[in-house]
Amino acid sequence: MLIHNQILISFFFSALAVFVVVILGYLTATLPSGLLQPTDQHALLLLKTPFTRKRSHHRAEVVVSTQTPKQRSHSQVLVRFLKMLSDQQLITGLSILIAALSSRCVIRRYEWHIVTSLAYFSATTHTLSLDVLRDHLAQHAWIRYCRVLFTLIFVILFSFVYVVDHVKMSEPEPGFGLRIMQCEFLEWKSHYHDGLTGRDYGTAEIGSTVEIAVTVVPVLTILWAKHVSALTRVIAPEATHYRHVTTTLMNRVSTHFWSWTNSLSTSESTKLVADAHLYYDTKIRPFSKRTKMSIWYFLEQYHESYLSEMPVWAFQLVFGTANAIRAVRDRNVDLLNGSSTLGFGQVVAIGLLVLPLLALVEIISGKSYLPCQHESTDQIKSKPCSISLLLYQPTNI
Amino acid sequence: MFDKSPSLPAHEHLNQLDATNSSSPGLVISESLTESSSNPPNDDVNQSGRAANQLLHRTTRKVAIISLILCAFATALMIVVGIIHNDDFVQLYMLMGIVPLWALSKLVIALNRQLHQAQYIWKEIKSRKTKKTSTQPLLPAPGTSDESTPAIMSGSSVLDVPPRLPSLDISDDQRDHAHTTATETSPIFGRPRRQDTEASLGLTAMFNRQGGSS
Repeated sequence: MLIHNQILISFFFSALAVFVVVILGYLTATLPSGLLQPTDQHALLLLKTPFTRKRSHHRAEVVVSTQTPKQRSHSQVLVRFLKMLSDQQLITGLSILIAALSSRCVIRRYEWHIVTSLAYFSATTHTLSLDVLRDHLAQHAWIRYCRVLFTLIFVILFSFVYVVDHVKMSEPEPGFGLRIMQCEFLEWKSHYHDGLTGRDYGTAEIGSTVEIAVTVVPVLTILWAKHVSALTRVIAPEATHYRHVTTTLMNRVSTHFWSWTNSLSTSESTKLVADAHLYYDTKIRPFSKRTKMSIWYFLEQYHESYLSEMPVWAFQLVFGTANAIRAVRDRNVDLLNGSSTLGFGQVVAIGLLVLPLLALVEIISGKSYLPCQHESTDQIKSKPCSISLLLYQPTNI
Repeated sequence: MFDKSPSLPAHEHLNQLDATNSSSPGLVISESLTESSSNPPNDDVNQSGRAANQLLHRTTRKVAIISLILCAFATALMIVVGIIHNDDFVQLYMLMGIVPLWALSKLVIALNRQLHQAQYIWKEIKSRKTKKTSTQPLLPAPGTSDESTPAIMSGSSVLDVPPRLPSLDISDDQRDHAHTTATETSPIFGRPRRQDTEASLGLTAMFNRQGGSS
């Protein structure tokens, strides 16, 4: 049995932890500072307004563009914790896909479906963490390249597994879930061969191909779009300031275009595009209280904000959870049959999934008990220094 | 609530540029854009800056309110779409509707921006070209034997051209260099520079020597 219930649950909670941590980070404004745009800052103030009765109007006029020392400290903890979860999701996701592909002669159709559901979770949560880890990855070039490479391999593998999983899902035959995957592969291979040689490739097959495309394309489009945009933000230096990746890419293309058509130097062309960018920003911004807000201005601001990501994340979380639950519930064979005892491999897997929690406790306790420079040894012994003092120390030096 | 057209006429935009532009923090703005807002007195700057800040805060707050509503609505919709059973084609149809719309909206926003940016860049390049062509007749063609070039527009950077050297057999490279130094001696930007004369360069002595030898 490839998937064990305990592993499934711990895997699910590990993925869920990423979502919870990121949402908590957003609500407490402890995500890395570059992620939160002015719209996010104001939205957070508005969300907090019902809980802070006094001076609500006054507070809403103040844009909190910089994080407090406490928030910065929390942000560091959050980034380190998410880094561990993210690594874990990427490696676990890749491992589970490789395991499924290599043991295709043994595993059954429903197990393949469970694997796909879990891998979908991995892919989603890993994308979510990529944005948060952008600053960290920007500082470490080799880690960045490795992560980009592994992510691409993972997404390509997942796309293949997902497509395979959705073949003939709409009209399952009796005993469909119990079929060995290798038999399925061989069957499709013969079908494909017949199709190439012009034999027995009727409208039913064409219809099923279209059906697969229709079933698979929307979900894979979202997944690929999120991955491509997250990876672009990690790779492209100018994307540090703009979340809207399409604009970033188009600006880059237009820089080369103007440079090529008007024989301008690249720096001159870049400057010209930057001027044009700023010109458009100013043009669409309302210039007095009486002027109505341009719809383009609103759309630009909305898409720049981290808030605009929430609906897609919500969909991916719900879709992944619903799929995983359904995959386990609809299985034809009870997973617990013959698997009431945990094997060595399963215990190790669960242990690895619990590891980030231990790491989190270690990070927090490590941060709290670092000695302050200006305090005497006795004071250090008596009380741990505050995190804010620790953070201010480099600037004082 | 929204106005579909961009709100400000083109000539007023440059006056609105200030340090509070939070939407594009990474840009390197050229001098032409910042020049116009650099001169007003301090009080005016403070007042206008405060007013601009307040306006920006209000606008951002408004954007945040609408964004929150839109986000809540979109999140609710996406949760419903995610929960619907996979076998039901309702989910599929909804996804088939939502995903292209989502991609299209992003694309349209980016394209609209690119269109306006392209217009600006096109005008900018055009104006640069016309500037270039208008200043070119001021530079005498190589090989002409005028004694001196008349100054047409005083104050222009191109017009502080030192008098052309008569009958001096200089190479093309030297001529190009002479042109560059002439255009770079701009009285507008930076400290006043040293004005080289024929005497200070020692060319007078050379002319005399050449005149004597020939």
